[in-house]
Amino acid sequence: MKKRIRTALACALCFIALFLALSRLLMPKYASFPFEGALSGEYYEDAGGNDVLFFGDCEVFESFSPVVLWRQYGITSCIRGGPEQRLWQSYYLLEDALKYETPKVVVLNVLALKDGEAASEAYNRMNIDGMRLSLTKLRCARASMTEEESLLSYIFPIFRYHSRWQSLTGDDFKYFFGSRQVSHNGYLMRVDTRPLETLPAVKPLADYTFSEKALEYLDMLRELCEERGIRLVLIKAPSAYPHWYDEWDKQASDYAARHGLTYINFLNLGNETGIDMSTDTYDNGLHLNLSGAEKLSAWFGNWLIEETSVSDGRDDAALSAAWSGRAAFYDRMKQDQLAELAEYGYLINYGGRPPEE
Amino acid sequence: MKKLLILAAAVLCLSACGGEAVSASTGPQALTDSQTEPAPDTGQENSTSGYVFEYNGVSISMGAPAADIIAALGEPISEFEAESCAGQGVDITYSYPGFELVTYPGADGENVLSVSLLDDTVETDKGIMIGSSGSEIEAAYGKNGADGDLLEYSQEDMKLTFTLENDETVYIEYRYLVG
Amino acid sequence: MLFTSFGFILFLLALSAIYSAAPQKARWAVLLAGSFVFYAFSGFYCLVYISAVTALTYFFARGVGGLLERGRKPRAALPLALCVFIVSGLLLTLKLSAAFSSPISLLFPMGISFYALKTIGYVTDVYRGTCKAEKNIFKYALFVSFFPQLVQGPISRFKDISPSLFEGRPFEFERTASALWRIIWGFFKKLVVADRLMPAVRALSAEPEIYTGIYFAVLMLFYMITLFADFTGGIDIALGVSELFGVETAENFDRPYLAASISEFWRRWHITMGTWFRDYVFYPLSASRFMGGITKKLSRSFSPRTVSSINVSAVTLLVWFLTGLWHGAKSGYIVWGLLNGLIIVATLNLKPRYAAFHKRWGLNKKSWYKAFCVVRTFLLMSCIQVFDCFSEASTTFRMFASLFAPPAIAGSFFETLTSLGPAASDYIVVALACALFAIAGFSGKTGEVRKKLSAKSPVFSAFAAMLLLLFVIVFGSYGIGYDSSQFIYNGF
Repeated sequence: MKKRIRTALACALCFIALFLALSRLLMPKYASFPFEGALSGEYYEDAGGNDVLFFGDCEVFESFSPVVLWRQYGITSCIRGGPEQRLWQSYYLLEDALKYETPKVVVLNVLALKDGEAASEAYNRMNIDGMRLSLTKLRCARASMTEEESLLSYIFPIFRYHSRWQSLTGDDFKYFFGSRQVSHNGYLMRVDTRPLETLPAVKPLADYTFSEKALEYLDMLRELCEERGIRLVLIKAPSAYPHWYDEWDKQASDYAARHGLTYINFLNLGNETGIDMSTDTYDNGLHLNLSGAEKLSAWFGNWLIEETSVSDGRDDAALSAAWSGRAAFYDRMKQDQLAELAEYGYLINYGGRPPEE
Repeated sequence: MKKLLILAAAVLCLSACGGEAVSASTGPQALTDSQTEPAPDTGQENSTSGYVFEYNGVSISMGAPAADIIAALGEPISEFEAESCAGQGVDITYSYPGFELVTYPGADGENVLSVSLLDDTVETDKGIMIGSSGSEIEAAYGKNGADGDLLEYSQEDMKLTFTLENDETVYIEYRYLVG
Repeated sequence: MLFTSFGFILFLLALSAIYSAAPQKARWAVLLAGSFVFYAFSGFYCLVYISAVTALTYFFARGVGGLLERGRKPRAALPLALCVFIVSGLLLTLKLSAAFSSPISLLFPMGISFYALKTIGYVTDVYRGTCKAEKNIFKYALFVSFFPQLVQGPISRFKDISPSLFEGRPFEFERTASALWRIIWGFFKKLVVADRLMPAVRALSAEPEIYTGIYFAVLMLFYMITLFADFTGGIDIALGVSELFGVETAENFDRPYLAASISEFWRRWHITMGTWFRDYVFYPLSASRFMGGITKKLSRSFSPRTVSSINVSAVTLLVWFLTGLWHGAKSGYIVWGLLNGLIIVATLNLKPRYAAFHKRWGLNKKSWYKAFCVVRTFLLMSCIQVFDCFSEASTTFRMFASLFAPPAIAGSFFETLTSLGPAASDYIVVALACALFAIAGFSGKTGEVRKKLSAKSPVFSAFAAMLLLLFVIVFGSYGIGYDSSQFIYNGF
């Protein structure tokens, strides 16, 4: 009998070990393009002691550079953005982050208020997979899931990714034990430029009201901030596309006014921030490039210091040491991207497209 | 027989960072598995289904391969590329006098995603244009149950939408329903 | 609820927990409740049908049993006939209304083809005295609705299954291990092979006008593999789950693709259906007064041997016609049934000549000849089974005519194959799995392989099961990107 139990136990242990190993192997690593899926997991490297946390979609993780905020103002910050991040995802990512730190300011991009449902399963996975397993993660998954998805696959991702055995690459083995860092406290760097030349016509909508579900989670997020004594700042990043309708802008500013929040629409602050879409975007106005993000961060860092309780932390030796490492990585990547741009004419390893395409 | 139903093409529907645009792809690059690759490209097979927009003798049906259509339409006034987040494809907007044509990346190049009518120099196949009234639309396309400022007509894999303000059409859109 | 769904696994875990917590005497009731919960997932109307059939056959069986006890067997034939008439009439009506768009559209309750046969067999058994009419209607309801066997068989008999079904056996290490082995094996067949190849089968049969010639041969082969993996896999899960709860029941397959003739094939494939038709249709028909009358008439002008051969042939054809009809009221199925019947009748009548031929050349002892027979039977069965793929038999005949012509679709063979859905790597997985099937098939009967393995080395057996499970998890066709398909036999 004893031998039987030992056998069963050994078997079960082996099974669990192999199961976990296979799960890890088959998970996408996001160590090469698209990097966006790595963001939600990379946060944990930088969690703890941040004064400012950013939430939202690509309009935040491409628009603010925490390294600039640190270098110029001594502000500690991290972006917890994700591609097509929805309001409910922002809420749960905040709830999750609050387990590790309590920032003084939370900055939320308002574009996602227009969306009442997930963009797609793929974006859900990229926003949620990286979260550490917890009830918060499961609640986030439940709020996000499209019809075809199952909660179980968020607990055991192998049930989602098992068929990737057909498309495993070197990266999957190379980064088996730990992925390569791709962001700078949540900021995804792009140094290339593709100027904004023209925009599609602005199409009238039949209904401009924000999604009810998104507003509900905005309320929850606001209340969570109030409970923890965090100042919530609403922003609209200066992206020129998709079009930010006046009707949406009014709803956002009304909401802010109603709840005593600050709402900053960077689309109206071109002169102050100096953002110029002929030089500061890498995809004709959708996202800011490094130059744009640095300009915006310079302006916003100043605002944070002047208008909020965020303070300069550069006197703190431990902080300075930690941030100098980050800054060095930042500079290295910038040099690497510039070199690539010089050599190939576009960012071959960072998601750029050949110009003629 | 149930068991012999054609395998529905598994096409993921992805909305770009560009918000308005929708692109089809076989999934995020990192998630791609060959099993999700749709066997037949339904979009191309049903290229003549649904309402068709005509301009200068060029028929534009939603979901159809775009290359020949764009070549036939001639030089556009402008082009705008909306790259979606995380490499999920690029939607391209081509502007022509009075209307815009948007494409999404299909298996073999661009396919027509939508056509937007922007002013009264162009009209639908049934003569509706910007400025037409709700009753004119209903006379042409049939009664539409919906009240309010949106009249929608679905056919096959596409949708024709009229947006009204004070009973006046302000926007007309043909759209392919990807996935 | 599909066997291969997370829902079913959760259901099984919950039911197992309740089952083992319940007192032994009440465990059958847990299974009954579980079966009804399971079936309710297929739609509430399913419960209505099964309850009605259960109640009806229960009371008829009690009536028949009562008459028998009073020694009035001749009178018991009447309620038996009535009961068989009602249940088979219901089944036939449902089949016909499913096949043709009738004015009264009836919802087809999943599994009724199986429990209709089960209940008819039961009432007949009571009449024959093979088993006693069950007094407890709830126990009888469990027999009818026992969930592992509800949707695709096997068609078990009351006498065989009832002792272990109502016993409420506790979970026991060895049996549980063996049951889990079998369930995993079933999952492997269904998820790794059947569901992986199914898209190709669908694609090939969806466009018969372009996939002609060699692709029709591919379809035949793929369908044979898919059908085997799907059906035997489903039965492995059904019997594994039955075994988990200590329920002993008849096997449904005995390595059918190793059969050396069509009639042998049908003794090894879907065994419980074959024996059902034998015991409840073939025998009664052969012994019927009607056939007796014909025999008498014929014996005036033919030799007794010829008469008996005509008798058997006619009944065989009728049975196979009904078997085809049972699968569905479509020409494809009917032709399928008749083809089987014709070949079996031909073999039966040619038996003496065969024997002489074999003796003349001493073929029976030659192993190559045995192999030839197995291959021949497999090819012949491929030609027969493919009638399932097209609802119209005429399409299939047209496809046969095209078999040796160049295919209508241009392009390289391998490119066309990978354009059907599965990628090259998928075909490799299927090929490896088929090799595994072959090894398992040559190693012995279904149950024996596992027993042999665990007797040889329990440690090795346990690890093998574990690896197989991991294999299923990684290589199974489930989840996003896969079309989680029904078991083929759920449709009947």
